[in-house]
Amino acid sequence: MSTLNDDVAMLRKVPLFESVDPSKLKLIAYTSTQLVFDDGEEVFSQGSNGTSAYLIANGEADILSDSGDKQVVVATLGTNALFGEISAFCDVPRTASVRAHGPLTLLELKRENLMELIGEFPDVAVEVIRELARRLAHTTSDLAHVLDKQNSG
Amino acid sequence: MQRNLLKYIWTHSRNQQIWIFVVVVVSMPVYFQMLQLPKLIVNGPIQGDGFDSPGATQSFLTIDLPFSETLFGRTVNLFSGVQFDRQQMLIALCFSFLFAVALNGWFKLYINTYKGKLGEKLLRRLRYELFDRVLRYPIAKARRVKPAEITSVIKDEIEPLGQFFGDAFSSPVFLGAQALTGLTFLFLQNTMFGIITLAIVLFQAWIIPLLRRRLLELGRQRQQTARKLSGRIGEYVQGMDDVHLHAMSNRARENIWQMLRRIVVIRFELYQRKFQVKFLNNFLIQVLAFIFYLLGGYLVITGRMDLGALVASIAAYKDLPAPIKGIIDWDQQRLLNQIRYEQAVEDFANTHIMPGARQEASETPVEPIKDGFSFDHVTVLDAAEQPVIQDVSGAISRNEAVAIVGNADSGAEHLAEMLARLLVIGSGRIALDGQDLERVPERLSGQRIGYADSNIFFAGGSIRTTLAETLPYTEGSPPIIDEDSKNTEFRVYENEPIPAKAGVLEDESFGREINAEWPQGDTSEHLLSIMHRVDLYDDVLEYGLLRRLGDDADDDIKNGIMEARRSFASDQSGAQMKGAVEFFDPAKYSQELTIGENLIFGTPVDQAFSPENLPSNNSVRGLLDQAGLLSELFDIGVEIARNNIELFGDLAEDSTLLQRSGGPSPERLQEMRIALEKLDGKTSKSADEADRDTMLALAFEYCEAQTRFGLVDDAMQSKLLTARDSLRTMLEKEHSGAVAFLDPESFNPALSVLDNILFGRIDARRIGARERVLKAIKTLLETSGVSDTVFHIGLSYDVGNGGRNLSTNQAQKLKIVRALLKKPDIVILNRALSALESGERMKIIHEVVRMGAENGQRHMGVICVPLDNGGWKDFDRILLMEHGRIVSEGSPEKVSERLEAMAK
Repeated sequence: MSTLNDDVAMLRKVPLFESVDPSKLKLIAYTSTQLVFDDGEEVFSQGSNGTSAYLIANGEADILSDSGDKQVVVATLGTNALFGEISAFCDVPRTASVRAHGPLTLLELKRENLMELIGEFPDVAVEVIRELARRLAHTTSDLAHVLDKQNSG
Repeated sequence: MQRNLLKYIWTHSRNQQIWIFVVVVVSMPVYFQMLQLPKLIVNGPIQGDGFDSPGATQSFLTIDLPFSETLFGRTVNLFSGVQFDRQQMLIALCFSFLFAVALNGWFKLYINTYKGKLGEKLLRRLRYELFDRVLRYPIAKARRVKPAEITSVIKDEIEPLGQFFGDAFSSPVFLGAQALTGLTFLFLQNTMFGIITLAIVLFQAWIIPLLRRRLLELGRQRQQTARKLSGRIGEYVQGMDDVHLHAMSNRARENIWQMLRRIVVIRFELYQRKFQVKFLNNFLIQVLAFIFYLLGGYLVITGRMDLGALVASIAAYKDLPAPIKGIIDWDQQRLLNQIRYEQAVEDFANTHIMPGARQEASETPVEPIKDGFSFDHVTVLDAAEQPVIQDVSGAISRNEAVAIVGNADSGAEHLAEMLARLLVIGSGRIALDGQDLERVPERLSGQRIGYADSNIFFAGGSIRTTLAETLPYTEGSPPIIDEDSKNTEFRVYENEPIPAKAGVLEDESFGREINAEWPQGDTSEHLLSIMHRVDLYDDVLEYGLLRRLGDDADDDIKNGIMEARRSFASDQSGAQMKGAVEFFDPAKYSQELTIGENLIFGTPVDQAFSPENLPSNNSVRGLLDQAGLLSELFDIGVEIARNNIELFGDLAEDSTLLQRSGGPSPERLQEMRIALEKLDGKTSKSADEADRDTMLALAFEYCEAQTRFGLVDDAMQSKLLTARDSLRTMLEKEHSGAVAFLDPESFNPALSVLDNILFGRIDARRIGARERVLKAIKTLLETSGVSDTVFHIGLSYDVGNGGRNLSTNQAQKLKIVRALLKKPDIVILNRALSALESGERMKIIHEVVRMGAENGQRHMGVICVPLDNGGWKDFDRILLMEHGRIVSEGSPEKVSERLEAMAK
């Protein structure tokens, strides 16, 4: 069983929380819930409404995308990976399904707790905005890259 | 029902009233002696009358023949008495006085007790009689009355009558005799004074009833308002949901306040009137004295009357006011009580009740229904006098399954209610086996006809009693009171005049609340099969799992549960359950439990060992101190406080995050902060007693799995395990039985059945783990054969006030179980199971219809007013109703077209 300090250490490895003050991370860890899944158990399914983000504490999870009648594994995430954070920050249905690949332990970060934390400590908000902006820049440059390729191709 | 209170009392306690009077009369000479003796003592031995010479004696206890002087012209002496000198006489008279006092006291005691007993028993009779009538109210009336008002009448309104019953006859006769004697005496002394007194008394007798008229009217109003008040309070309590939902509380306050005000106004006027009448009474009586003195004095002064005659008249008069006042008071009581009685029984007496024969018990078992219902030109009117069933004729046999189909205003459900006698018909005739349904005794319809609608009310009690009360009872029954109160000789002085028991359950094993094995009776078998059919078995089984078995539980059950525990544990290795449960292991520290729970490792039976009392429990503390653990636990407590401050210290007090995270409350946090500041650097030894307790309490309630501060390392765990062992040894030696230890090999009576099988904690981190575990356990119970036993334990589940502990689904299913458990000849399902989802409802109704026709032969008729369109093939015949008339009938195939048209 992991302690709060283990969880904090884990959270710090997540880029989104990288520069958030450790004591605040501890609060995030405290308000999070540990969940355990067996191999093949579904965490959530594509299209469902969810408000939590998840952090893999132990094990691996398959990200699946519905393709026609069957599901295709589009990625496999390992320890310290964060997923579901988009639904946690804004009201969009889950864009993919997630299923445990082997025994899986997750840390569930609930939206209301994250939001509360941001409201209470603006520093955290700044860090989250910075990280999201960085991601946006990344995605934009990726998109530009793809468009470039298309145009030239 | 008798409306005159005095007649009622006389009818039911004639002999006792006479007896009271006799005893009162017999006690009078003793009373007289008690008043007489002090005078004799003072005059005789003390003042020395008749003891003129030192050696003088007087005779004591001389008995003369009464009236002998008048009869024979001389005193006939029966006993010449004993000769006593002055001192002996003093002693003899004083002891006689003591004896008279004691005897008089005893008479008083006897009379008062007797009157009290008489009053209570007569009150009991009256209450019983009223309730008996309520039981026989026509159903429409019973639905209309307010429960709280009926309760108020039976319980409170007639209560004061009990005081009056004992005095009803003896008092006026006795006082009347006294007054008459006084008056006669007065007449003998002086005719004129006699006439004056008589005139005043007659004036009183005329004026007082006039003054009282308003008083009696007020008494009536007081009673009505008080009754309305209890009815209204009852309504508000019953409709408390609406009071909150529509913010009606202030309206309710106003309403009740107005009623209370009205009561005060009435009562105040009542007091005024009452005391006015009293004042007038006293005044008139004293006016007599005034006349005596004035007139008598004048006559004496003018020499027309001699002084002796006046003094004698005044002496005769002085015995008059008390009895007259008593009679007037008694009469006032009588009138008020008469009104109270009239008001109380009025509604009961005016209601036309069912003949008692309909509810009479009998020792002969009821005959099964042979043919079934037939109805002939029946019309039923609703409350607004509109016909809901119009001129319907037909028959329903007990050997068929009939569906009465129609929409809400078709009258289908009214037809079903009418057959169950929940509706009174306006005209026409319904017969059961050819006998007028009105005359069919309830014990026949109650046992041979089952009825279930969508009603969800249960009076309360366990599921088992709820079921048992509907089953047939053997002989023996309390009396039903006839209209003229004959036939019901419950004599007032028997100790338990009513054989209050309505027999015992025919299947005796069923009704008992037992922890022992599943009863083997026929009823129980039948119940199991019904419960499975209506899909209620699993619900009851779950209630059983959550219950604790008593200490007296049968060994076989305990063994069965232990067996289930073992197989559940070994089954855990299966892929399905893996890790869902953390088992209790005496040799392992459990992260799922708090430190305190880990130490005790059992369920406290003695509250001194409950989790919250553990830190302050001296024997536990002493032991921990010896092991050197106390200071370490103190340090853990400090660490917990520090962690909490670090985590939540910066949060605002009203922070929702703080509330939602399951962290400590702001007050608790503040407490920790203060304790920490005070402790600053101190050790367990040097700390304040209070602060040390705070820290220890924090440590004891710390659960690693929940809080995850990582404070219980391996070394600490093994120390705690050692402490657990020595604590157990100590407890077993010194406080045997204070804690039910968690022992994998033995049954724990302090745990629920579920926890006993589980013997561990379900991992909260697994979504849906609880449901899966429950399902696995149910299967396990099934295979290990204790499932029915646990189900039986579940029957002890309390259905709650009005059945509120049951969901609507469960309550409606239970209604069907009740209707079927008595093995009726005909079962009526009237829009039953309305709360269920359509598919499930159709499945259950299908089961019930099929249940009545096992082995290809129908042994239980079914009359069903369905809620769903479909499943017609189950029925032999279908009656189609529209606007209170049967518009078509026949086999499902025959009416299928119309059925379809209707469904659209």
